[in-house]
Amino acid sequence: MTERLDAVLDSKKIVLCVGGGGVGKTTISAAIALAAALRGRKVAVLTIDPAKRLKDALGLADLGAEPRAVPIAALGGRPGGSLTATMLDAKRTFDDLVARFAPSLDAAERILSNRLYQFVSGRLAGSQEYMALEKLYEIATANEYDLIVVDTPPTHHALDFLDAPRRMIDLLSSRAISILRSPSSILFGAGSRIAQAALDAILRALERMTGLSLLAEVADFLSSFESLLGGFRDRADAVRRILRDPSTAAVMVTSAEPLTVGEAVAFYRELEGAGLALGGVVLNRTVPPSLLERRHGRATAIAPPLLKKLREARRELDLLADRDRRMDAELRAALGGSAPVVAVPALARDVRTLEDLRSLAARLAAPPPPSNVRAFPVRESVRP
Amino acid sequence: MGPHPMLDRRLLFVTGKGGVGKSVVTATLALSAFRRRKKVLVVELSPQGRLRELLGGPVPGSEPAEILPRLDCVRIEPRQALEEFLDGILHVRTLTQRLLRSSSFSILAAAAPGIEEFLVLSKIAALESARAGFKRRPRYDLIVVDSPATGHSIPFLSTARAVTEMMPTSSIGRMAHEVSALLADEARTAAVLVSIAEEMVVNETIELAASLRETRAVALGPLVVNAVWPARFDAGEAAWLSAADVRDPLVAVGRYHLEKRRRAEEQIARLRGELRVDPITLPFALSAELDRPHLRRLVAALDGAVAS
Repeated sequence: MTERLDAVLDSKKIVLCVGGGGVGKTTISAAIALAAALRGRKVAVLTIDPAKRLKDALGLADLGAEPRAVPIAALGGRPGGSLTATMLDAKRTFDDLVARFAPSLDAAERILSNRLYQFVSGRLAGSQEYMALEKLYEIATANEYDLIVVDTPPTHHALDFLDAPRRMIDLLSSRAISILRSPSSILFGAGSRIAQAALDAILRALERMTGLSLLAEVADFLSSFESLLGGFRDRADAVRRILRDPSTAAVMVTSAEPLTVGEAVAFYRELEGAGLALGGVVLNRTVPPSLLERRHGRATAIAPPLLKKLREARRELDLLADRDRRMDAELRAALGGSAPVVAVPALARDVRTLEDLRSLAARLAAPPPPSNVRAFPVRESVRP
Repeated sequence: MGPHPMLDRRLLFVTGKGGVGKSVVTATLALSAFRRRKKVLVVELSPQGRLRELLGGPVPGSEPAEILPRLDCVRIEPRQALEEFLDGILHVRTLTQRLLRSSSFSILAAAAPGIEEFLVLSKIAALESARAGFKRRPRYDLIVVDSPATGHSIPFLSTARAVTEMMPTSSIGRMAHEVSALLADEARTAAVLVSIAEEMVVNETIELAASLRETRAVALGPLVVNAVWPARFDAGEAAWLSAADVRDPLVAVGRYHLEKRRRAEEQIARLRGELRVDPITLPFALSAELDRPHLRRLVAALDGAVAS
C-alpha cells in the first residue's frame, strides 16, 4: 500500500519542506498544510513566492506579508481545523529585524542606508534562509497554531539552511571587528613574529590594492552592526533549538530526475548529521498510474497512424514510469525505512483552486471522513 | 556549418533558475561550438558541477584540462581564486593556507564584498585574453561558463562593476575596470538565459532578464528553453483526441501529451511576449536518463534552431 505522511501531519508542530529548485516544493507545502488542516489542526503555512494560480487558490492574490485565512470550511474537513497562509518577503524581514534590534531609530537608519549593508544584505550566503527561519520563529513563539508548515528557499545542502543563523552571526560578529582593530589576532595561537610580519604585509597589500577607505568602511559597517548582535545571537540560538526539537520534522521534496534524487539522498545524510528529523520524502510528479493501464480490445476505433503515435507515446511514458520506480527504490534504500516515501503523480493541470489543492493533499495524507457523513471509499478511476 | 550568432561571441555566461539544466545547456553549447571547429573552454564554478557527468574526461581541476582535442574544462572556485591572489602577494604558500584556514580571515574576506567573485571573474577574463602558439592566436575561441543560479547571478556578474565603483583608483579597481569592460562588450560577451516552460520558472526568467537589462553588466544573449515537451500530434489528431472517449487508456495517454504540450506552448508564448526574443527550444529527455545520445540530440536541436 502507498505510504503517506499522516503521522507526521498529526503529531509535529513544525514541518520544513526542503529540497532543490524546481521540484514543486511550494505547491507541496501548501498541500501538506491543507491536508493537516482537513485533519483538524490549526495550521499556518509560510510560503515563498507561490505561482499566481496557487496564490489565487490560497486567496493571497494581493501582495503583502499579512497572514490570510484560507476558506476551507466548504471542503468538509474535521471540525477545528483551519489554515492561514503567509507570504515570505525576505528583504522586508531583514530590514524589520535591523529596525527591531537597533538601539535607536537613528542607528537603524544608519545601518539601513549604509551601502555595504545594502550590498551585503542582498547577497550574504544564507540571508534568505535566515529570514525564513526568523519568520518561523516569530510565528512559532506566538503559539497560535498547532502546526507551522514552512516552504524553504531551494538549497542543495541541508546545512546551508540549518546553519544560516549561525553563519549570519559569524559573519557579523565582533570577532570580525576585533580583526580590523588588531589584524594580528587572526593568527591566534600561531603567534610567531614571522607570521605577524607576513600578515601585516598582506593587510598592507590588501589596503593598497583595495583602497584604504574600503577597510575603514567595513569597520564602520561592522561596528554599527555590533549593536544588533546581542539580539541577533539570542534569536539564532532560539531558532537553532526549535529546529532540533523532536516536534520539528523535515519533509524533503524531489523530482524523479536521477541527478535530483542523488542530491536528495545526499541532502538526507546531511540532515541526519545535523540532527534534524526527516518526516518523509515526496517523490513529486511521477507518471500518473492511470496512464499505464493496459486493456485488451479497444473501446475506440483509432486511425492506424495515430494509433502508432499513441503507442510510441505510451512506450515513452512506460520508460519514465520505470525511472520513477527505480528512483523510488533508491530513495527507500537510502532511508532504510526511517521515513515514508510518498509518490505524487503529476497533475493533469496546475493547481488553481482549493479543490485542486485538496486532491493533491489527499495523496499526501488520508483525508478524514467528514464527521457527519458515512465514510465511503473514493474510486480513483472510472472503469466502463 | 554557417555562422552562429551566439557561438561567435567569445564569452558566454549560462544562467537561470536552479534545476533548469544550466549544465546541460553549457555542455550543449560547448559541443556545438566544438563541432564548428572552435577551440572551446568550459568553466565550472561549483564543486557540485555536473559537467563531468555530461562531457566525460578527467575531474575538472584548477588548470584547464583536455576533454577532447579542442575542448578543455576548468573549475574555478572562489576560495581557490582568493588563495592564488594571496599567494601572489605573499609568495609563501603555507602561510596563505594557514590564513585561509583561519575562520576569522574568512570573515574578513566575506566582509570585503564580492572580492572572491571578482577574483573568479578576473580569472575568466585572463583565460579569455590568453594567447598561445607561434602566432599568438587566442588560446580559446569560446569560453562557456556554467554560472550561478538566478539569485546569485546578478551579484556575480555585476561584481566587477561594483568593485570599480567602490575602489576606483586602486590597482584592483583598474583591474576591475578591464573585467567589467569585457563583460559589458556585447560583441564579445553575453548571458545565455536558460528556462523551462513552467510558470514559476518563466516568471523568474523574466525578472532575471529585466534586472540584467537594468544592470547592463552583461548583454542579454539568446534565451534557451530547455526540456520542452514535444509536439506529437497534428491539428486533426489533436481535435480527434480531444473529442474521443478518455476512458480508453490510449486516448488518456494522448490527452496527457496534448495537455503537457499546451502548457509548454503557453509558457513559451509568455516568454516570447515579455522578452521579445525568439527562444531556442531544446527537447525534453524522453529516454529514462540524460545520456550521451540525448546530448547529441540537444546539439542537433541547437544547430537546427540556429540554422532555421
